[in-house]
Amino acid sequence: VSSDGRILRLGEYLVRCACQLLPEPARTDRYREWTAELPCILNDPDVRLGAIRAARTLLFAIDHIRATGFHRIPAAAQPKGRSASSTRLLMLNWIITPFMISGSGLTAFFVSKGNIAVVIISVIAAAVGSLISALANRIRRARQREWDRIRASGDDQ
Amino acid sequence: VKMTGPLERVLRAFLTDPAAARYGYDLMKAARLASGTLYPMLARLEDEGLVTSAWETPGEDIQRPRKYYQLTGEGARVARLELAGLAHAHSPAGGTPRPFPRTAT
Repeated sequence: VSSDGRILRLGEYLVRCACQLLPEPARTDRYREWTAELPCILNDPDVRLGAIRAARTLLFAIDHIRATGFHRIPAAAQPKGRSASSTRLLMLNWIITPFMISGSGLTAFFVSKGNIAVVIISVIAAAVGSLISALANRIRRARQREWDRIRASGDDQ
Repeated sequence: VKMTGPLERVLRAFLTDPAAARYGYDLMKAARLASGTLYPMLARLEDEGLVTSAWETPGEDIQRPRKYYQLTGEGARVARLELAGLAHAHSPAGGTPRPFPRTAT
């Protein structure tokens, strides 16, 4: 699979994640629409650098996750009583993340016997993992806040 | 329509050629907006009947049909009115008058 193919697959995966946060009737249509844009962004003739095109393709998909995370979702799909625990999780995340990244770098250094490329890749992988985890947590918290607001206003009845 | 900065940019992008059908990425570039801002806005405009959407006809060279958006007649009228209103409000002669300067007594 070429690097473009990998970027497209990753983009499709991210769009699928975004669509999971949408109400059921809109999912299929939005998924079709947004994934159809991915190859066009990746092959945009106005952008010269391939790396920038790839980054824009992924940002396109990631921004959909950001936006759909703030959508109102039905009560049945809402988890309950997670506000305090998600806050604790977020604090823990900020403490653990630096240790996890530096730990993975050190482990990779010893395992690969000082291969810098392996160290860099493992540190980047750990950082990306932490970023995705923080993003997912942020979306969860936003959904929880929105749910609390809806419950408080009573407009879901 | 509640006019916001991003909406203003989207309407301006549409009004460069009101009869043209535009796809999402094209509008993103023209209006310089992120995907997560543009698409909900297009959905709202569509709900309000100011924009219509249609899928591209699948062909041999089109593996994934794209969705195109176009201003309706009403949409073009409202967009022109709103943008003219904004231009008037921002012009020195129109809009909210400046508060009269206070003088020392």
